[in-house]
Amino acid sequence: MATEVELLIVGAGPAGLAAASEATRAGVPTLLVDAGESTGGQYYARPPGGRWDEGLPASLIAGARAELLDVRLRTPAWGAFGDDVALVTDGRSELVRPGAIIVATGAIERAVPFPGWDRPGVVTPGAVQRLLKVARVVPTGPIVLAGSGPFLFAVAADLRGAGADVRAVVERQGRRELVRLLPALMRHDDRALEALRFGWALRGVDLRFGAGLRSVDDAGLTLSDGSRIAAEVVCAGHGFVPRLELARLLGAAVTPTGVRVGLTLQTSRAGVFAAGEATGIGGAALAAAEGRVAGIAAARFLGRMSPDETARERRLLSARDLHGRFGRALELAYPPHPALGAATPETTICRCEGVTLGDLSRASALPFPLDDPRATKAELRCGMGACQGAMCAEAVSEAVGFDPRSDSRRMARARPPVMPVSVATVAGAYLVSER
Amino acid sequence: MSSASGARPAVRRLVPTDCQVLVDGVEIAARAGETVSATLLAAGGWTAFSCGMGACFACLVRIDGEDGRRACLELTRPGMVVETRPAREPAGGH
Repeated sequence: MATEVELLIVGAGPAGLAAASEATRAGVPTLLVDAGESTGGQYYARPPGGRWDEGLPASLIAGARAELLDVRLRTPAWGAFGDDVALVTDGRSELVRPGAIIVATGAIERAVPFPGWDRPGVVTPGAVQRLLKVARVVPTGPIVLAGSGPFLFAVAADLRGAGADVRAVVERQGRRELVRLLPALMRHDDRALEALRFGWALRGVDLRFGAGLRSVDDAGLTLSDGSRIAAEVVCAGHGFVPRLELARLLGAAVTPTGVRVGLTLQTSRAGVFAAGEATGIGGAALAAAEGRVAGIAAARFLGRMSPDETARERRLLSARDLHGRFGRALELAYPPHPALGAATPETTICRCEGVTLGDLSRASALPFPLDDPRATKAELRCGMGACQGAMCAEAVSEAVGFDPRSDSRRMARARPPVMPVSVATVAGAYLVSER
Repeated sequence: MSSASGARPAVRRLVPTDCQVLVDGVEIAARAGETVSATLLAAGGWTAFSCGMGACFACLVRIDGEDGRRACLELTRPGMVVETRPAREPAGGH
């Protein structure tokens, strides 16, 4: 039998924590699970081992009632079967049957292939940021951050603050395009202050705009304008993509840019809510605002709150709107990079299975072409590896002729397990379900 | 993998080491509670490590005899035995 829980929240980042705070405030016993070693998600990542609420901003978890909250770390949700969600903690499976669920699975960095993207020392900005925040180590060699989006500057500033040798930050968008952000920055003084802080931290660093990342070799990187910059570490960042696997397994409608949600963050499936980056990329403040709204909506769905909207809820909804507007301004200022990046026929696109762009092009030129991501998955194994397509899905669909950001056919079917789990774990879940 | 190979460390620690682990048969200094990726990168040059948050599976290693562990998520423990070879095999399928 599955364990009955009133509310399950998957993901203990800003959205999940805010949702848990709001739900327990309303009296809902809540199980909050996260795959990581600590709460806070990527944004509030910190060294493991502390209490769940240690080191988090008080505003993020305001109202949380610890006696109603069960926080389980190192506990990914690896599948959903009907009404049940399969969790695993240190190899031990558990099926839970939640009365309501909030999907707060966050986002990962968008992987854009280019020649050399699979070399050692080519990493994401988030990877070095986590090394710094969680493991407390700093790269020794010269670092260049390249790609697109404000996260490049945020990480560059963090690295510089820790004494790393940041040589350059290269932003694909030109200065002229980024000027469009000014009105939004003027309305959001917290974000404007943040931008100023990055600028101050990066004084003296070579900042380039309007140049893309073409390739990386032994000596460093080559930009789209042909110029070269020496580096030992290249942090390639191109924004974020939401993690949708669990929402899809739960049967909630999604588009490639996020779970489809209504005003109070309900999905297309009753009792399933989604909040934060999973509903579209917008940053930690928006995620927290959405978490609050989703926590209330779930509590109401569970009959723990009266149906009447309170003044407090209206304030939370307007906070969500405010942060959402900044998210949309960022989206306009930093349009997504073409999914195939600067890949050449020799560039590996699917790293788990070693499939190159040339392999994909040849396959889609066959008399019975592989013109659909499901066919490429079946024939070339793209998406069948350990990452389950997390790194290559957009590039593979673009290679076979789909617009990966608007056409949901890009998405091969979601199946459990959404991450590798041992056969013993799966069998454990089966035995639990039979008992 | 270049741990203990003499390559210049890819990263330096902000917190001192406090234990020993065994990486590919070589004793190296580490700090309990850092990630295994941090331990490997501090012991040698850049190695298979990409997203750093468990999504890409580039950093798979064998830990205390168990295959398929993500070095970027696992926390280093005193006396841990890490094998970066045999290289990861394709997961699943055929």
